[in-house]
Amino acid sequence: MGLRILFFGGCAERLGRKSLDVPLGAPVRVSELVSTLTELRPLRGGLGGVQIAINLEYAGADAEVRDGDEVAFLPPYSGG
Amino acid sequence: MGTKSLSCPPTAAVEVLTALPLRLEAALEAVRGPESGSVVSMLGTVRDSEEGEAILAIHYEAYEPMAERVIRSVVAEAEHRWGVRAMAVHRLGRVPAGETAVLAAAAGVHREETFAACRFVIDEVKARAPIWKARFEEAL
Repeated sequence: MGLRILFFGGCAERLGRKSLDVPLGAPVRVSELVSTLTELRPLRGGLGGVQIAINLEYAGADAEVRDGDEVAFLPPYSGG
Repeated sequence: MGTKSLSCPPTAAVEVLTALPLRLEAALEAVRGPESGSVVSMLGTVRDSEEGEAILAIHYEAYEPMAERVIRSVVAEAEHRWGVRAMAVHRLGRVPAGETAVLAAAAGVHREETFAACRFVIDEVKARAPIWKARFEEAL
């Protein structure tokens, strides 16, 4: 199944894409996923105050990401 | 137009994200009922300038399934807390200057709780719903 990662706002612009599908073996923590992603060149400056959601629910740095999950990187909102 | 129903549709049936222009009258009809002594609405409108730049339109994007869930949860919280009927809807895609980007409404027996509920809904939708101004279209 793998992991589906969604990007919005500035993250999507810097990456030049709105989603990324990656294979995942054992579960990883959100903090580990963030560290891995910020090694990608376009995201090296950090993620700029993003919140993370796993399967539509807010998740903290210690939350576990499992195979089949949808993880979203949500920059500060600006609706309305 | 058909005959107007006296009973309100269930809140779950009311759309919370749409690409179409927002209609105030439809929003008011969704919340008002025979017991509504007061109806309050709040329209967030796209301004024609932002920080000195003339704006033609703003493009909005959302993490739609989560935004929908958050907006429904905010509305349910307001209804529970103030004993009113409430709704909120946010427009996505291109919204021209002068048109409404977000609309909140509440209907209650008295105005105090209705104002409070409507204020809560618009504030919390703006703070908690994953929606972004994706792009400003500037006038040349």
